[in-house]
Amino acid sequence: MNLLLIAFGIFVGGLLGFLVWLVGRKTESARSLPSQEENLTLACKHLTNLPQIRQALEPSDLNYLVHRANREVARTVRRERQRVALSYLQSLREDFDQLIGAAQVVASLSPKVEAGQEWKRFRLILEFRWKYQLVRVRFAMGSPAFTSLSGLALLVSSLALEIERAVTKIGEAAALAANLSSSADR
Amino acid sequence: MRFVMVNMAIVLKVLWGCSLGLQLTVLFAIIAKKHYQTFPAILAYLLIGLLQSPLVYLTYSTWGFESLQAFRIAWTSQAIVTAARWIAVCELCHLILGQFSGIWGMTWRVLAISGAIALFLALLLGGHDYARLISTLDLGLECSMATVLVVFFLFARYYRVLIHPSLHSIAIAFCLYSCFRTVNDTILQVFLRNYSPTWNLVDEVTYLATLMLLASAVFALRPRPVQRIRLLPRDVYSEFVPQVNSRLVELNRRLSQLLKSEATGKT
Repeated sequence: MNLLLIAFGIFVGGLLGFLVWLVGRKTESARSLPSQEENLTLACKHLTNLPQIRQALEPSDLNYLVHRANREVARTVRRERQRVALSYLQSLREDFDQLIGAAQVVASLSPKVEAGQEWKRFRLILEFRWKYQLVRVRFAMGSPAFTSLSGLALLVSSLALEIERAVTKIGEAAALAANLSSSADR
Repeated sequence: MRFVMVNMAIVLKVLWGCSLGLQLTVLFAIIAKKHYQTFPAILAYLLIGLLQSPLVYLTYSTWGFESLQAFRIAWTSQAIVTAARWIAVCELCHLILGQFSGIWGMTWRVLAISGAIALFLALLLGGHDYARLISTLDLGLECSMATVLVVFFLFARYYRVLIHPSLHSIAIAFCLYSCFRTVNDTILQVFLRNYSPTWNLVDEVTYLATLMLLASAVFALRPRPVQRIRLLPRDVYSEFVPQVNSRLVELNRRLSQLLKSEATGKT
């Protein structure tokens, strides 16, 4: 019977922990996401910084420093490059979250959703988060390469473009529906 | 020991009085603010709870804490109150997510399945002898209610559904009450008679705390806590979501490649 107490204790502890986490995150999300419509506002901020990032991560610059300057300077530059790559990765993640947020809002505002698609997206988001953390750890440990970062950046951007196109369509459809209902009222 | 029991009985009477007062306050607040149409099940739950208090008080004063009659009447009334709370929880979930007809069609099934699994597991693990059977049923219902509410919060969070703070507080109050009752029922399963006076006391304290949370939520309620949502045209989802998913597949594939290339040193 003591086993019962432990089992239910752990279960309830887990539920309470989950609840605290969800409620805590709720206030954070309520601050950043004031309304359903505003969730659909998209801006891929990272793309504008891509040329500067390319410049910052240029391997020839580092090679030049390694050959010309002392080791200390090269080490400092390498550390700086890592910091830049990591913050860029972080901004990619923020853009990704914003895009996924738009997808979730579209799903929530749809009159019918497919459980299969929703489950698939949920799995893919988890997979992305897990892999993102691994990439982050790798980047934090070693020298990042620009090509790998730019590939990711372009993918996130193209996702943003597609979502933006869909959002425009949604806006047009909503306006059409509003016009139809107002003309029906008259 | 007898002195402690007498003191406990006095404390229980005071707590009953307090919860009765609070129940009446919440009920009057709901009626005065004309929320009875929005929350009929919550109103019914509070009314049944209000009726239970004098009934249990009368039962215990007539037959005493230890009698079988009091045990039967108290637990039967408890079963009715718990069932009413279950319906109130369903009403709350439907009130918040029901207007999002697409995700609600999927959510209620997940909520029902998770609730059923929690109920089944609790019934399986709880005691099945005569003395424990009723508390096992109560344990199962509380466990499933707490699970359903946590899963509901997960869905609301995942789909970024903004919940009115008062409705949020009511859901938290119900969830916390179910969690504490689960623990209380589990301890009762283990220690039975030795724990039953304490069980009453703990339950009354947690109920009082729940009522306080409910009262603050009801007082802060707006005339229309649930706003009407305008849904998107039907074809938007079928056009948009598969595209996003296929992009995510590509993104994850690219991340895997990146991890492999970083591992082998090629970039």
